[in-house]
Amino acid sequence: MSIFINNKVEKTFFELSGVRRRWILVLFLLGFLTLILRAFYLQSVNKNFLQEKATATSNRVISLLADRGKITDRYGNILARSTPVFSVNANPKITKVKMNKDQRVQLESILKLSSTEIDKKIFNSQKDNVYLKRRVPPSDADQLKALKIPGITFENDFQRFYPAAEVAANLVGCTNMENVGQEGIELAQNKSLSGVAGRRKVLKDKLGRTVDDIDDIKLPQEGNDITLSIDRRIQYLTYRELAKSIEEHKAQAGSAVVINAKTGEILALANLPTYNPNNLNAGYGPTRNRAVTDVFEPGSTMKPFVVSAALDSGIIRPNQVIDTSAGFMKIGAFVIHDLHAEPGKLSMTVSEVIAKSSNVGAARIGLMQDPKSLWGTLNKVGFGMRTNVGFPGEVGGVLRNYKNWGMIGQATVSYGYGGINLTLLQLAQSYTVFANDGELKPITLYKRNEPVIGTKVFKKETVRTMVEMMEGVIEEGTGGNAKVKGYRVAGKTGTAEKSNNGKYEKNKNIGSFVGLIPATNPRIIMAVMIDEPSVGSHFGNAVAAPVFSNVMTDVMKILNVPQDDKLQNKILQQEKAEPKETI
Amino acid sequence: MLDKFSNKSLIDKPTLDHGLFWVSMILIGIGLVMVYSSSIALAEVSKKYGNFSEYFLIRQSLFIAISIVAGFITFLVPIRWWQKVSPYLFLIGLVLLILVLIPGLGHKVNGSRRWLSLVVFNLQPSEFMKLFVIMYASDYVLRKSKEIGTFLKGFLPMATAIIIVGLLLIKEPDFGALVVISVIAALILILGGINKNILLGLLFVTPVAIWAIIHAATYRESRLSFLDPWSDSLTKNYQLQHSLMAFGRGEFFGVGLGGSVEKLLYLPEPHTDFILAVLAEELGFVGVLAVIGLFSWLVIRAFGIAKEAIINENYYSALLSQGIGIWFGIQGIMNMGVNMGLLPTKGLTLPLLSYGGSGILANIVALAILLRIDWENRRGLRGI
Repeated sequence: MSIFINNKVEKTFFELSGVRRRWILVLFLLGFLTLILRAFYLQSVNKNFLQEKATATSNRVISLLADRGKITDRYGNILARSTPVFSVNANPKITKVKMNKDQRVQLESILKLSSTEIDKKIFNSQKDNVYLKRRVPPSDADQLKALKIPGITFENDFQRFYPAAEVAANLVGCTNMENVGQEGIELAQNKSLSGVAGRRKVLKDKLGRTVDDIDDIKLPQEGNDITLSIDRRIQYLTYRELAKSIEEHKAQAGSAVVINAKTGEILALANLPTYNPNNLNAGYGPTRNRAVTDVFEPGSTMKPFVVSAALDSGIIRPNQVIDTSAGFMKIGAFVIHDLHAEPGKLSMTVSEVIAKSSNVGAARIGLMQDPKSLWGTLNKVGFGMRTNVGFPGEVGGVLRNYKNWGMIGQATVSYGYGGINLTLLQLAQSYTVFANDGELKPITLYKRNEPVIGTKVFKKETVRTMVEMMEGVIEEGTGGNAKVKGYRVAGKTGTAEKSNNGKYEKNKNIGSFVGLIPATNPRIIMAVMIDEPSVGSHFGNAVAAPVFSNVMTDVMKILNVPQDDKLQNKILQQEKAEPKETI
Repeated sequence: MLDKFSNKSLIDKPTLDHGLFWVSMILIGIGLVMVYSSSIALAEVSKKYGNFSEYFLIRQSLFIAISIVAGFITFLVPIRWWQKVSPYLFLIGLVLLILVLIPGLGHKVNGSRRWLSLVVFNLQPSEFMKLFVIMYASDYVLRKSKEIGTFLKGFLPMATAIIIVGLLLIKEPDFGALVVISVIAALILILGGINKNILLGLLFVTPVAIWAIIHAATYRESRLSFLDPWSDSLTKNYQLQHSLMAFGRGEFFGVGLGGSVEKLLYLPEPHTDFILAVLAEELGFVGVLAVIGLFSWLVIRAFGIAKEAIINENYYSALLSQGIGIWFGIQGIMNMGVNMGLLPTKGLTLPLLSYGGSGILANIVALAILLRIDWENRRGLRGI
């Protein structure tokens, strides 16, 4: 090696090299020290910030579906339940690269998606996860699973199925795509039905695949089942007969409520028009539960309360004769007419006022009373207040304060016009006083396991008398169409002109009927309301009473209610006995 | 009994630098474990790697085995011989750098043509060029020891050679290798006795050159964005962001071996350029500190060996070992600096740790040379 180096060069090189080598080494060590400080900064001082950033990109919370509870009728028959379906998802980053042509064709045909839709969802997406199609039935999902397309995943989901479809649609309601209650009981009981979704915190890799659980899995808490007071059989009957009447009379709409007179439980609540909650693709349609959300002026169905109030306080006696002025009465410039007036008849008994539904008679009896106490009675039977049946959108109607009645007001309220309107549900509830010796039973949509204590409104004797009078409505009065073979029926018809901006329209009527059966000890109350019947008679007896009769004929059989019409029983016994004799 | 006073047994049993040997082996061992850990997710998901999670582990193990055999052979070669062949090795290196640019021969990955396809594996000439430049520059300094202080005859020829290499590397492009080779050449010239004025000139010219290179291509300019890594999400600073997240997640003691989240395809090069980030996440600050410590030890020891070589008047050996120390030092610091967001991302591996056959082979051969120099030093001290 000495060949390269003379002494002079050797010395300078050696010295230089020593000094410079030390400097370079120091620089390197400074570099390493900088790295140590930087690593320390990143891994202790700055770690929270960096971890937040990392968590935001790699941690995901997956919600675990809680099964939505069933809605059943009082006997456990299903009105709404969840059926399993699948959401088909794709991870575009994987699928776009790895799906082959054949798989794509199959995918399109099974999901019934067009080629352009697939392009839009998978091939033009920058996301980690897209919905290809939701609510795919299990059979289709199984076919897809067998194809094993990379990046396609299946998410458990459910879809509501409503076995009663249109029949109970306005009552049971429906949910949206996210299975959140939108209408009816589904909405009212959404929280209870929904349960609590579980949570899974997971780690995802760049491709969006779940790698690991980060926390303990929180299992979903299943939703509660809701048992309604409804009897599915009665609901079907009610819906069928209501639809028949609406069809027959070409009415706009109609509602009917059947309640257990003793417990206040609603056995049927039907409305028309309605929609099919199993097929919401066409939009929600007429979802309104008119019996709960719409008010109308009750008309004559009010009269039993006004008369009962007068009987109860002793102002009139049942057989008292009331001056009905040949169905014509004037209060100042205001004229009251009787619709069913008999020519030349100047007065009626109280029973006749009810049976013939005399407006003049009712107005006179109303005017005999102290406005405050009359108002108090009407208020006690629930007018002007919501029934709080627990249905979304329920309204309570109006009962104008007695201080603002004046004579005309007090007179018109007495036959169900003017300062009063109510829902069909309120009307049905108010009639419970006639089935429970004067006690008003609060109604409910949910099955009751214990008897409920009501509010005393009338004396027992008053109610007895009034029920007899209302039997007269059926036997010889305005409600003949409500007859049910083998049973005594008490009831009251109502026919009201619809008011539009304070003006009554002659050709737009609401025909209604409320009945109690069997009259000797009422088990069932049914209220029917037909809105704007346009063909044939528009009277309650013509449009609403037959619905009552038809439904109750079957309901009495279904519920095994003993017959109470002795006269008819006798005839029946004779009919039965006769063939015996011939044999 | 006389043998006891003779140095014959010592001559027959020349001692190896056990410290250097084991530090190297530990780094290689850590590297292999981290290559495996960081590459599992990547290998599994990719058809290119046969969806086989041990793909990189097996290949790297094979590379290390071959490299250790090569290192053993290297150890048997006297340093004198390397000095003799160094100009030819430099020429071979140049030829390889030209060949790699020919489209049919050069293999392109991620837009850079850095590899020569050799059927079984791809050869990366720039990795070997680093070692050849050390050998060539050391020899150059000694050959020109009389004129080394002058600009025209001392500095300019070497500068020209490096510029040629640099232009070839820019063509690939491989800016990481360019910076490493330039630093190696410059420091060897400085150690070899370059004029003080030229040294000062270099200190002035270097920042200007870096600025010029950065502005030559816009995409490199965008790499300056490392100064504010969170300003733009998902695009420019994507790699760096996830590297920093890995450091943050690791804290002091790490999330545990195999527990890295960032290696789950978030970090694009978890087994090569960003292996330290995965290590930082899994082994924490303690792991990073150990790696930096081992690298520091390696550089200090290389410079120590150089000092012993000077005492023995083996000037070529001295420059060679310093060159190797500089190589490991500068490439280590730059790679780690990139991982921690102190330097712009430029595609540089961490010596001995990152995955890559050419890199590990060149690194182990260099370490074998270092061991050989030390071995020769010990013989020299004993007067053999």
